[in-house]
Amino acid sequence: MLPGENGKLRLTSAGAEPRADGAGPLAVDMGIAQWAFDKGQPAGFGTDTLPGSEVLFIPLRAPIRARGVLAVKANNRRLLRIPEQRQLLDTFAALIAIALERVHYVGVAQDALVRMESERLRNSLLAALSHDLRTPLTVLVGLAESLSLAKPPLAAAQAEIAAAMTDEAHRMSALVSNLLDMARIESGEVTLHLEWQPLEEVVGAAVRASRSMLQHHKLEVRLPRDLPLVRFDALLIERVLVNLLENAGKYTPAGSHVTLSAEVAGDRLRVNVADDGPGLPPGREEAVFQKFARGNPESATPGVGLGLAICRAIVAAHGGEISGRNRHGGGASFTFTLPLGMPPAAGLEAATSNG
Amino acid sequence: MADLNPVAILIEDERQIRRFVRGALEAEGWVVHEAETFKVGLTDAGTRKPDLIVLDLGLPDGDGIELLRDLRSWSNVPVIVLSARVSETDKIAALDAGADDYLTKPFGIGELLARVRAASRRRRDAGAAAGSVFEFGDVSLDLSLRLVKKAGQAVHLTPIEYRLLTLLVSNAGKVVTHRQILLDVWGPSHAGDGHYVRVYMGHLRQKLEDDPTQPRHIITETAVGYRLVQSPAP
Repeated sequence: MLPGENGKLRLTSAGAEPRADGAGPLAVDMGIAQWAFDKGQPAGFGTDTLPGSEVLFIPLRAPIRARGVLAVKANNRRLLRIPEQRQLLDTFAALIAIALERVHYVGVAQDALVRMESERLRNSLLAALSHDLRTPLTVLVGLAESLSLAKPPLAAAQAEIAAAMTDEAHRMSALVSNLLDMARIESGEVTLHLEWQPLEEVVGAAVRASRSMLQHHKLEVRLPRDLPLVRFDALLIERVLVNLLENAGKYTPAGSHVTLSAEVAGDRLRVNVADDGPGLPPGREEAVFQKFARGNPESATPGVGLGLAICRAIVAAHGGEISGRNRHGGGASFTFTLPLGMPPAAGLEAATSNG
Repeated sequence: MADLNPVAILIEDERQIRRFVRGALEAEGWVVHEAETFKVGLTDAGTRKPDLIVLDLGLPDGDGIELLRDLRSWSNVPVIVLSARVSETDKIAALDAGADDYLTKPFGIGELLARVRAASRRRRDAGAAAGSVFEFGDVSLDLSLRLVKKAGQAVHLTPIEYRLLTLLVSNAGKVVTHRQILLDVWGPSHAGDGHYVRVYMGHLRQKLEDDPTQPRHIITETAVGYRLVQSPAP
């Protein structure tokens, strides 16, 4: 009998099969077996514990730990009472235990190898994908822009085509980034580069990165001056903010208001991105966070439904939560939280000045 | 006449990328030499006396960071790195190894030319007299008087804020990494205190930017460092 993952003994398949002599499978009391395993002491027939049992249970003790229990039912029970026979049996048990332990560690080593190998493969695959997708996109963007800058200048219609090509290539590049990010997060291999920092800085970077998507919208950023430092991965939280801001830009008509605000709520920092557009389809407030889910699947707005799924994965990795709802006055509102902690001192200096 | 034109070496293995980068640089009056490998690039850098090197980090024949270190041991030519890599640590490594700037693929021609102009300007100004007045937006910094003004009003900066500002100004247009800032302003014993930089950069923004949540000049390059942009795109 060998232990399962939970440390509970199970009959091995060999033990459960009918025996060669035609008798049925060995009927063993798993309770006694488990006791022998847990205590590391023999039990059952001929021992001090439950000697009334027909079966002798010998724990298979290996150097590191017990690896199982050997159940012996002798046709001639007297043999088990002979000390030499018992010693022989104990020696077999020890040998079996050592063999089992070796098998176990070979398995562990192989698992580790396979894991390392698949991780290496995944990383090199992602790196190659990233390189192989970005190189042609770089060429597309560059050549399309060269057309726009050509001398003599292109006619208006052609210039428009060149500009559209540039935009589309940029959009495809954003999609590639999202897909690769999702793949990396899903693989569980993303290491968070957590650093104490002001939210303001990453907000500034996110607003800057999404400004082309929001150029026809009215963006308001409301951050209290006295927000504490928060510990997060700046690149990933910037990605969350950019995705939320770009969604607001994408799914609301030009001229809509978008507000980014933050506040301390108990032991969390709460960050909100709200708009006054058409809002989320009622009943889909939660579904939009699923991968490849979109508020309105038939929407003419381009997208594959990864942005919010990535947001949720990133926020969850930080120990926070993200949710969406419709505002009472109309429009969508997305809120995420980040845990606050004890920020380190900021290396304060004496308040002298340059004057 | 051709001798007066600045010389650029373009080290990049993708022919189509070389094609449009070359076109963009030539339109600005550069003489461009192309190199497909690090080996050729490094030789060219030694023989052609370039005024600029544009270097793709992901070349098949070696590590671009190594090339940078090698190059920096004997040349201070401005280097702009092109990177298709996901990880910011590569960019930081390139900057710390002596790159002047980087562009992440895909990049626009406008972006490329802006970085090229900033790098050449820094090189030209390197010999200029200290004590000149540096301006960005409505902020002016008089280095000889240690005087900072915003919209004509004197702004009081703490010594650390002032050093941060002068560091950014002397690298105007270029990314300065967190590590470089910590070393320069706080010294080597504070290498692990990245939040110092962020906190003080926030103070500087509150004093010098119209809206510190949407800075126009003191720009964050997330996870890499900061860049002082003198004249932001409208």
